[in-house]
Amino acid sequence: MNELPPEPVWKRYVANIGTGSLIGAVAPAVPTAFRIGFGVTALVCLVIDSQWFRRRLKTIAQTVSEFVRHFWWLLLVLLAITGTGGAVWRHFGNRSTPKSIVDARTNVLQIQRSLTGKDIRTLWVLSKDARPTDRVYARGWEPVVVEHRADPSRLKTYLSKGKVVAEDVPGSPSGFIRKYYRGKCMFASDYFDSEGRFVLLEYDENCNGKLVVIGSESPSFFPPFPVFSYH
Amino acid sequence: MLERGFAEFVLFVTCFAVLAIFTPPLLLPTSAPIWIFLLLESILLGVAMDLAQLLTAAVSPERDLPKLDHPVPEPSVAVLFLVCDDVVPEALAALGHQTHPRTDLFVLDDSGDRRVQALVDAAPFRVVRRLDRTGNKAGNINHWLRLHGGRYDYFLVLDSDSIVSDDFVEQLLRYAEHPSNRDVAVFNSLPVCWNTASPFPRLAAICTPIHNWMRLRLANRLPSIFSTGHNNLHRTLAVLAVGGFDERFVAEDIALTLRLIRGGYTSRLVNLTAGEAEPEHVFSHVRRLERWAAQTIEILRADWRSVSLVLRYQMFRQTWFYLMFFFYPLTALLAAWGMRSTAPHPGTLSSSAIAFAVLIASIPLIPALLKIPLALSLGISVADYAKSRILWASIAWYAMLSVCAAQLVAAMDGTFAFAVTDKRKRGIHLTTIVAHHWHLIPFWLFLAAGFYRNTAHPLSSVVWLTFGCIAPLLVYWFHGTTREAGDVAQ
Repeated sequence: MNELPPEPVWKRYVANIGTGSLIGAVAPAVPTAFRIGFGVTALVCLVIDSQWFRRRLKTIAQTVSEFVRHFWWLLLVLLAITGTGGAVWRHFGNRSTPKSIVDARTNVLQIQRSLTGKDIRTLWVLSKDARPTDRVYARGWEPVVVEHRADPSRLKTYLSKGKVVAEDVPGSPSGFIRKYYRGKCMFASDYFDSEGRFVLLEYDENCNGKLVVIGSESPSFFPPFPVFSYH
Repeated sequence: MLERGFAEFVLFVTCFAVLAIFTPPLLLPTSAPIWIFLLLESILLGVAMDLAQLLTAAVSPERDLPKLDHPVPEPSVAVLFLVCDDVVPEALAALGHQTHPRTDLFVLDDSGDRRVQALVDAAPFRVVRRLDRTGNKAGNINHWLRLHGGRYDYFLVLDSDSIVSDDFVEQLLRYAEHPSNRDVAVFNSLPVCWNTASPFPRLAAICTPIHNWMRLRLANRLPSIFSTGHNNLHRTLAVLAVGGFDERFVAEDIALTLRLIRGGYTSRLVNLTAGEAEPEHVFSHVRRLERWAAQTIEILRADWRSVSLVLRYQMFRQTWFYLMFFFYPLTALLAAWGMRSTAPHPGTLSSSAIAFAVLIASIPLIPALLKIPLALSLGISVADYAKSRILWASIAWYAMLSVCAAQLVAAMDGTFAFAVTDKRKRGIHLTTIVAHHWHLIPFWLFLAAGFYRNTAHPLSSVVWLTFGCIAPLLVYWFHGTTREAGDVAQ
């Protein structure tokens, strides 16, 4: 028999911390910085207390595999339905598509031409109403710094440094950056102007980094996540 | 040939397909992150299961097992009253009045508490004890089976809180001795809560008639049902033929059902009621919930060969019910930390946004609302029904972390300690309720830190956020005026 020798109690605590950290490291709810921290902790615990940790990991893997083994046919059905639901949602869901492109264009600085061909790493958002400390995030992007008070001369400075610059509508209370998954639309910034109109700026990666204003609309249907940035 | 009980599964798939495909485009903007979509699908999965069960029951007539129309005095029956430091004096006093002539009564006492042992010894029944508690309840019954099992045709398993009618055994035997039921090894009864004097157990069990109504229409359409573990009659030969109870699992009832199915037997429901006690307070309730959740995870490691698809679906439903406890903290964490936001401009916060948030939070209420006419027809008032639903939701928020932890431990450790449900009354204070689940405090503080950097989200999550925050208060409130009661069973 290859029985493992008994271990001191403190190792159980280490194993608990390690297991919790591992869960934290893979949990989607946890921000990236925390995830890295959790992951490192889990690795440390794995080194310190390999027996307990490995045993637990093995057991949980067995439990999950048993679950899949018993219900694989049902999980396949559910996965197919969920996948179809996701596709339908992405295709037919409410995209808050602007109806009046002209209105928005009149409100937004035309900068598409200036941005063509730039190596985009950081998006700088110039907002007249945003606080200097505001930061918004987008998946796979550096934090976006919101500059207080838009200034055309500064805009040129940023452009000359290779930054991607977007400016929201005058009087906009807040802005946010979102990543889109559908079609060419990869990156967008939504704003509400002073009259509560919804304005969307889209960055189309396949168009060599153009910022495209796609318009505004009356918020008759207000999206449930109005001013969030997702990460 | 489709399996019996396949209709519910087909209806579930249909309901889920309709809900999962049509709801997200109506409710979610495509810009919403994928995890919100997945969470919505998870809610819809639970709703579809509930709907399928309710709709199938609504169109199905009652289905009882065939039974003889006369008493059957010949079979010998042992009534096993199982105690493990949790004797309930009312139940003990109600034992020993069975009208069936060939009934013997055994108290299988696994208690370590001397006071409980003395209480059991004082009762005029034959007491069987063993040297250790190996195999928990399964081990206890197997011990009795080895000593006395061969002398009885049937044995009735009662828990320490079971109270059955005097003709319970006699009635069960009419089912058991019917020639059509030869392959039935376990005859399960319908539960009825008897300790309804206290508001907490009364409200917790208020929906039992609804569950019984549905079970009477659905259970016997399945190839077999899972044994309920107590208040059920077992055919001794069948249980011995499959090697007795499986001592490796805390859920000895499900494990036995699996063995019986492999041995060619079934477990069935009969239209007889038997009394059981609901936990007197939330601590005991949560403890039981934790154990049930953990043993549901544990039983996944059992041998499920030969088990039909529809029965596996029933098991999946049960597993999903407990897995959904992860939904509460996960949603809260994702809402708080999964995004960033600044406070919305007053002009942008429309009433439709609030209405939308309420709508999403209301989705799980759909099956609950559909059951209201049924509740009324079964004599349950709307007020009581609503209170019961709120109590269960409050308990779910209150116990979410510990139930999740119990499942994780069961998934990671392989084995977990069997915790007997506390049957005693005890004093309930708001401070003890909060202190008992103190880990909710750092959890909510962590959420608060997330919401500090995500200022807009609490507005769209106001419904569940408020509910989660006041859950301990609601739980306290539902204990009613008896919450100050002392330990009467000591």
